[in-house]
Amino acid sequence: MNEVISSTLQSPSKGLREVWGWFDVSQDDRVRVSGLLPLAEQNIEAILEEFYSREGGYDRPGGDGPPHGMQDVRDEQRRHLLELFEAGLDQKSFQDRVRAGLFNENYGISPSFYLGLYTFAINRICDLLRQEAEDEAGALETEKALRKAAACHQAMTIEAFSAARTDAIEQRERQLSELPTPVLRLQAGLLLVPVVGVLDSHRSRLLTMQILDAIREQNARAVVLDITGVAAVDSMVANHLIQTMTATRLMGAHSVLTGISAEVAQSLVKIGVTGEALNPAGDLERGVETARKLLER
Amino acid sequence: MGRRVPIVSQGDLLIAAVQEELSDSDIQEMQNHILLEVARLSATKVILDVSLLDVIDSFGTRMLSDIAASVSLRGAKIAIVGIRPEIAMAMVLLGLKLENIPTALNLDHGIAILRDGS
Repeated sequence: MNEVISSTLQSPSKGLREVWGWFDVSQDDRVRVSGLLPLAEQNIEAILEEFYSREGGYDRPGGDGPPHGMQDVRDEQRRHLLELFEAGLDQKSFQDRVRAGLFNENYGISPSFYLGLYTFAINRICDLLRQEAEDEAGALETEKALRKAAACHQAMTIEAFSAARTDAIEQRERQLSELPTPVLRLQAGLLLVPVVGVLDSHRSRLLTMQILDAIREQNARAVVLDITGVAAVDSMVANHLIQTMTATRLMGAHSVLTGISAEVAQSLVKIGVTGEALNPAGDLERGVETARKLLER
Repeated sequence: MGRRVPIVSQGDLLIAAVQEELSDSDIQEMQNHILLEVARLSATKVILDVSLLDVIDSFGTRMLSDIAASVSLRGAKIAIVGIRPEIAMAMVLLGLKLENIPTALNLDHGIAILRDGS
């Protein structure tokens, strides 16, 4: 998973220098930020404690005590916040961002919660900075530098987070589209094919070959294709279905399409697919009935 | 000259069994032969058995529909039987649907279809 993300989230061509540039973080700013590391290290635990213990900071309804894995989350957050003060420009820093984004995705930490904690911590550090500073103008400059670096830091983590999320969604879609489709024998010469999931061109080709092979093997004369489990039917999917049914007919078997929901029917009409090509039946029961009649012919 | 496509007749039924790897000229010759035999034997039903055919190109698919159409013009009914899964898929992808031609899985089924229709 880690490798996948690293490859989808491209590291900027000129390295992190470019990203720092977008946020106007200069060399001087970075020196100022890294100077804050001791201060941050000393106070980070207290800041985290304060964030979680104060009212409205973190209370899950009905939760007694910290939920499972909360310690992991806090450890990661401490590490993540301290990384800011390294103000690094190297690949390690970039990989750390990617890892933080992945972590947030895996643990279900929403961007708002992440940003909330982050802003809270930065504000606290700025408070401390002002209290301890002798030179007020210098402290103001440092604060500005810190905020710029933090914004950049956050942006990269959020970017990694959204890349991780996109990847997770794509992976789930892929899994769904790889679901095998069984070809069931209802009775001699009559096959039932319940299609579930997403029909893309690769899968529909497989499906068609599966149906055709089954027709040949089982000497089938009729096929009922049920698409109740197909979420959306666009023109491409409709085309695939028509191709499947045409191929079925060329093999000498009749085909009946069932399970067309009201929404699918509407979208089919909108893209100009009429009923004739699909030989539809209202529901599975009537579809099987129709197919049985076709068998008797 | 030996014929690449044997045509046998039984009553008013003509059965042409397409062999594998037919060249374009073989297919054309088959078409002529079928049409001549339909007239000579005054057959009213023709079955084109393509179960041995395992590859088909666009020319082949077009000839299949041409043969079917010309046989119909000769006043006989035709059914194409034994289209293999790969061939069916290829025909669909080539855009040939054999819209008005009955198809059947095997010879028995094909004969039954032509009988019922008459």
